[in-house]
Amino acid sequence: MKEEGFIVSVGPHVQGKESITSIMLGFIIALIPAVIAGIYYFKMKAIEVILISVISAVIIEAGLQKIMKREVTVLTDYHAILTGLIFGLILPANIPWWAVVVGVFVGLLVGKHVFGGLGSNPFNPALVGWASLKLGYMSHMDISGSILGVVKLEGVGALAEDYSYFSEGYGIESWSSLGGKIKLLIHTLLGWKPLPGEELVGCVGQICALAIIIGAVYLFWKRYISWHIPVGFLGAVLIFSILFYKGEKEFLYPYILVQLLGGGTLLAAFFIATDPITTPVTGVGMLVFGAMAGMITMIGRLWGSWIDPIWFAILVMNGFTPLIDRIIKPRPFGRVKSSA
Amino acid sequence: MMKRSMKGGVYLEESKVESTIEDLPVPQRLVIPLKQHKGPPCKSLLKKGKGVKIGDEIGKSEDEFSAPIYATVSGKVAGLPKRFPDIRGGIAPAVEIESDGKEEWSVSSSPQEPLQQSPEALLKAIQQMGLVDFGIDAIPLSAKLGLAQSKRVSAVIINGVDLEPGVAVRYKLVTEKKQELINGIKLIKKILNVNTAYLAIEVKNTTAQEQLPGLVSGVAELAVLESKFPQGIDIFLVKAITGKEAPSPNGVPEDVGVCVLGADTVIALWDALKEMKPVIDQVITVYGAVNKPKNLRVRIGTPLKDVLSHCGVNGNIAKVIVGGPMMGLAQYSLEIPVTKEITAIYVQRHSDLATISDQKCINCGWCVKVCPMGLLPNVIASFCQVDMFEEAESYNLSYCIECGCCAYVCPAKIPLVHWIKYGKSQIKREEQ
Repeated sequence: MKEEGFIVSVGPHVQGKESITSIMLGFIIALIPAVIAGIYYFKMKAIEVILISVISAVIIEAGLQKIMKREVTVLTDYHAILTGLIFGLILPANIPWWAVVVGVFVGLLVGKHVFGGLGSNPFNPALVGWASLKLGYMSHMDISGSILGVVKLEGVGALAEDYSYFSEGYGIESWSSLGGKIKLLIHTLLGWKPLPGEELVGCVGQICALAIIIGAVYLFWKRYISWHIPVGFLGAVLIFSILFYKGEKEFLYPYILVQLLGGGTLLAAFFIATDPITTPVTGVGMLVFGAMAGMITMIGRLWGSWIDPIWFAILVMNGFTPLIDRIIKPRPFGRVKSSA
Repeated sequence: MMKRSMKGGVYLEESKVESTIEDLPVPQRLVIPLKQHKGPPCKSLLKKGKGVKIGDEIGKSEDEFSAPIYATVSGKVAGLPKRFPDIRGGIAPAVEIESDGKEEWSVSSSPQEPLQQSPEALLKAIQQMGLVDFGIDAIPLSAKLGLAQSKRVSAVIINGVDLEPGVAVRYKLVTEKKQELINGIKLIKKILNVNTAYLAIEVKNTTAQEQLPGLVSGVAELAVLESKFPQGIDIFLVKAITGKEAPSPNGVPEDVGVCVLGADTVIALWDALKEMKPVIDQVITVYGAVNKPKNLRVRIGTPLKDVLSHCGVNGNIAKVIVGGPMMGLAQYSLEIPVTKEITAIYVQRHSDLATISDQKCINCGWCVKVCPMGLLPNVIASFCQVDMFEEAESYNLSYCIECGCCAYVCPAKIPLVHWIKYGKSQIKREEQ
């Protein structure tokens, strides 16, 4: 036993195993089911979009870090890979390749590096990229063929028609019965196949709710996300879709299913609204964040002109995050109310 | 049985050292610091070369907030260093004793009936025996009980929950010294004149949950607490059991009418008072990167090197920490002896060391979730990094108890405790 050379430092002398890298990697792993489902439904097109998105994200991130004279961490912190992956999953499958690259570039530059890189970005880079494409190349971002699009454009009457159309294909005779309801739930979870003779349209990663739920279970199990944001978000969506439902009673159930499981709702609730960097730090703050994002989403879906304003809702709430953190603070232990 | 818990905190993987408490052989040479308690150090009563026996008073202080020091081995005084390293990184006078191996006591054992004595007599005996509340703060027991008396506490909690993860001192003692524990609790209740006593044990401690309920009934209520860090800290124990919060910053349980004493302290109290013999040894857990993690009964004054060589250490150790992995104090010398302030020794290899980084905070909020004080460690630390101490204080910097939960979970490996300590020291400097 040597007598010298001991290290002296302040505690804690041990450390948890999780790091930024492991969290990012955890999110990437959790997205694998969604990627697989996307490839299953969209075949080569999904592979193309996701690959272009991820590869361009890695290259652009490395380039930006070089130019900005920052440490090149693209292959050590995985944040660019995650950003690219999420970005690919929220794009329509039929988007041209150059639009993907443009979106990634804008997202990483405006959404991340102008603010100072990882940790300093107030907005989710993937969503910044998405917004830039939505505003710049609206025609390529058209997802009106998705189920949510049908609900939006044609109203609930059309939904009924469409559902009966689908029901023939899936053998659901009546969805007022319990069996029918369960079948409908299963098929909505798995994702609807395209109508005969039509091309499947929609976003790469949003098509299969079940795949996203599997990934979310992994995130909860690893404790990378807490329940606050998903519960706030999905709660707000659920309450709004019940409160403002105007159609016939028998269609309420499919309507709620579509609102909760269709579009980007689940992807947003578990993967994008829960992004650690751009969301509040306190539990209550997260709950408020999630609920308000869900509320804005539903206001947009019900009365807005866009089909799925979900990403803008989250971007708006990203902007409110510093304010939420300023207002909502935990109560310190043993705080004594001073009479002064 | 209902499991009680605090808010926040972390679960560490460090498993309990399950071995039965064993006696560590008394080494050739012991070093007994004259400051083993919070408060001023004692003055040496000895000269070099003088013979001593176990139980001889070797250090004394006139101060109320002090505890006399007794020789823990028989032999002769080999040295009286004035500036011996102390576990906080400072210096304090000490007495070096060369053991003669005879283990002779200066006082013959005189059986007492502590439960028959008056509270005043007991308190005086406690002061005389040099008892402290074991732990890094090591508050003289007489001072602690005196404070509790003056604040008229209505309940007492006997803390069987070890503070640091992995430490098994109280964990083992509550079942290995059951009778002493129960008598000690009775004694404390008598001194403080309270009827309510709780015995807090960890949920992991299944042996205690089987053996104790029948024995303690009528003396104390058993409270089972979740095994997490820092549940063992007094104020969180009080909150989990009684729901009361000691006022921050720097509040003590006595402020809300509760006195918390370690189970190890209570057992030592009974052992000392039943024969009027001073405490000469104490139980510590030795673990981490040692060959045989052990719970040891160690003579006070045994240098760390003797403890570690008994447990077996392979060549390259990087850090020797007294206390434990979370709030323990890293030591630079193995000459430092075991004192009443030390409850555990935690050893690390180079590969076990915690790393820090210059990564930015990613705002994940994990530190906020685990902070038992309900603070925003991320905000406080970032203010301290840019020398904005007033702003840090507006986020209750001074409430921080430096438990280290935030730095433990931080995925960006930001040394949050370091920044908080820095901020506190700078504020102190500005005030002067």
